Amino acid sequence: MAVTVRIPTPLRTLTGGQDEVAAEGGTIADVIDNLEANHPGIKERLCDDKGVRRFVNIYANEEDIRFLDNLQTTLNEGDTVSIVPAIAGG
Amino acid sequence: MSGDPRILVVGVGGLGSPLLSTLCRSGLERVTIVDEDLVEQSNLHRQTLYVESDVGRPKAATAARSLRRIRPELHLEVIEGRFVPNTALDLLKGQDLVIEGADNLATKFLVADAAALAGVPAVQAGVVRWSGWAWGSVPGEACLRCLFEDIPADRMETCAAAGVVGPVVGVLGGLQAALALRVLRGDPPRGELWHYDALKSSIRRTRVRRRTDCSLCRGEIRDLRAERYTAPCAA
Repeated sequence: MAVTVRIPTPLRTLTGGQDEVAAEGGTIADVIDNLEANHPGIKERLCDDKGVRRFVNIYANEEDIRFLDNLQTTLNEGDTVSIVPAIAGG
Repeated sequence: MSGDPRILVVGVGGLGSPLLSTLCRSGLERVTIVDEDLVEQSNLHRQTLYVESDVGRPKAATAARSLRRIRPELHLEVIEGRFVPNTALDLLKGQDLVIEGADNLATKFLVADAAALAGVPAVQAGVVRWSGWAWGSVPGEACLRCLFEDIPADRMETCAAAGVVGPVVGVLGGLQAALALRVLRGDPPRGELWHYDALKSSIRRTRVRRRTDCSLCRGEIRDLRAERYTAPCAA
């Protein structure tokens, strides 16, 4: 399943500056593993041993995966995954 | 706008500058501003209430002077200090809205918790580099802890470390002002989360829903004990 992942500014150092990357996977967990394979270090920024880090939100299209099936949320071809971390500055 | 609303603004920096200069032109009469910082040279590219000769002066008082030039009849209360747990609820007493533009997540969570406990709507935002978020919450609906659960223990970028692009705080501060006006006119932005990315020229709206396991919404947070706001990377 090919999806598009929107990368937030703080994580673009891991994607060579790209704000969107293509990824493969049938679930959010698969997509994160695929991202890690292509952009090492990104998984640790998104997940800890309990799942998605508490200050990171992941959206499947426009829906927060916490209100779907979390990391097991299924994806369809062409879906967009957005990563939204807490940002502190002002 | 009806009545004579009272607004508390926490943080008069990159976000606070555009939102205050906009709101003060919108008919608001009573504003309290809280900030402990001094104006620094590195602030001037984005903190539009200050000019070169203000460097070294307290932000809150200097911002008030700028705002009075814009609107002399404005009733401004200035608090030169940090928004801290032991005075937060007192500061929120009698306020109709709190708007937060602080530069650290500890204050953002403190404002969210205090606003919920005091039953006051909150409009908040955060910016780093080229992007940021803004959102509004009202008591009884999704809160900041429904969105970001808690203060991260590590790896948070702040504007001091990563920098902020001036026009980005202009956009997000302006958006905060718009959200604030919606609250005051009785059309609050319930759970609306706005993301702005200047490099992509994109602005998106998503909806934050109340989480059933949110510690604030479940009533597990009943006070503002200081240790809750002192995570290793809180500042």
